[in-house]
Amino acid sequence: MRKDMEMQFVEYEKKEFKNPIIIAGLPDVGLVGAIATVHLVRELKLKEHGYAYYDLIPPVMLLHNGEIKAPIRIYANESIIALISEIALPTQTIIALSKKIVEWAKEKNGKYVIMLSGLGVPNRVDIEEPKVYGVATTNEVKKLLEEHGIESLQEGFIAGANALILRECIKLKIPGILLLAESFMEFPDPAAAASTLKAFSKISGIDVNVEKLMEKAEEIRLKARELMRRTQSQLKAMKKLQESEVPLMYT
Amino acid sequence: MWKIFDEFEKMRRRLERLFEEFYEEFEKPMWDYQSKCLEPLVSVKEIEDKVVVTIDLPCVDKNNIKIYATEDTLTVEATLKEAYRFERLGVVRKETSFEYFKKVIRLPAPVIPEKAKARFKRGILEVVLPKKITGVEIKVE
Repeated sequence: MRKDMEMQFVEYEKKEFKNPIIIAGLPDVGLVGAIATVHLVRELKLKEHGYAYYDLIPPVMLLHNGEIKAPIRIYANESIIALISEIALPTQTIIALSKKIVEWAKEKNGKYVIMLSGLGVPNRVDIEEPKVYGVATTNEVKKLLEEHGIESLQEGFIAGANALILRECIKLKIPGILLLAESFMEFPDPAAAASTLKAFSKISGIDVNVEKLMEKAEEIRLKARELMRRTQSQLKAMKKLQESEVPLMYT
Repeated sequence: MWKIFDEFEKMRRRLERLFEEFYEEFEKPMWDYQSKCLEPLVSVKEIEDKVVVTIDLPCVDKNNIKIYATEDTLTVEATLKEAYRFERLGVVRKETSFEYFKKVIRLPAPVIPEKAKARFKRGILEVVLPKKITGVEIKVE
């Protein structure tokens, strides 16, 4: 494959990382991962470190204070690398991006790849504080979840970007953890995002305060409508609804 | 004969819905600058003998929601607690403010509007509308 056809992570400068935790919060169910990761970047004051470059990323650039920015960006300090996307991603981009995230984690000697996401539940409106479930790729990280009281999902399907990242984590032997908070399927869910960040704080030992996130929850829901609508149509294409099905072999 | 017209009507509804979804998904912005109106996110599901419409209405107070239903549409209008200002909206327009949500939702099946029920919790409006059942029961011999 031609080099310019491959997904690349362009870094603004060389940086030394110390076993960083890689966080992927891509637009998904209830925009949980996207909302959570943007909040984490702000709260931990991570610096913009680079961006994803790939021919099949939708042809969109952002303008912020007159500055042009790529829609998929990388923020970092020496121990955390966070990847955010401001646009809904088509399947082809998600495949390349998922592979690149884990390859990069390997290259940077990453400690874990942590995915923050939502688990659509029909009775979400009646849930006061969304519960977080975990999926881990190794026994070591399964234990970590157990130690912090995060229940592991036992049966079912994972679809979309998280499925691919987990697959790559297994292939490249990088511990991967998926944190899924009960959430609205089709509406932005900042409260679910806050739940994933609380779980993240527990397992990583890095405190991410969610007070401001909860204060701004309604405003976030108002602003995130368009991204949610576009994400929803991509999720349909990625068979995301399959997550509510029961697998045949292990029933 | 009425059954044929019923089928045509169903087909027409389905086509209209498909066109609406296609148009909404790709082109239509979720705000109207001139009328200061925002479009809410909506989910419509058919669950057995009911149509359940769920609408995301952040920054809205329960007392400021108006719902109107007919056999085949549901209209929701909700005033925001305070006008919401976008400091920069789009490339050209600056300091735009919006005052309310409005959406006319075409329902996937005819309903009995008088028997509809609604609740508002955590900024989510849920309207349950019983379907108008026009079929007849067939006994198994």
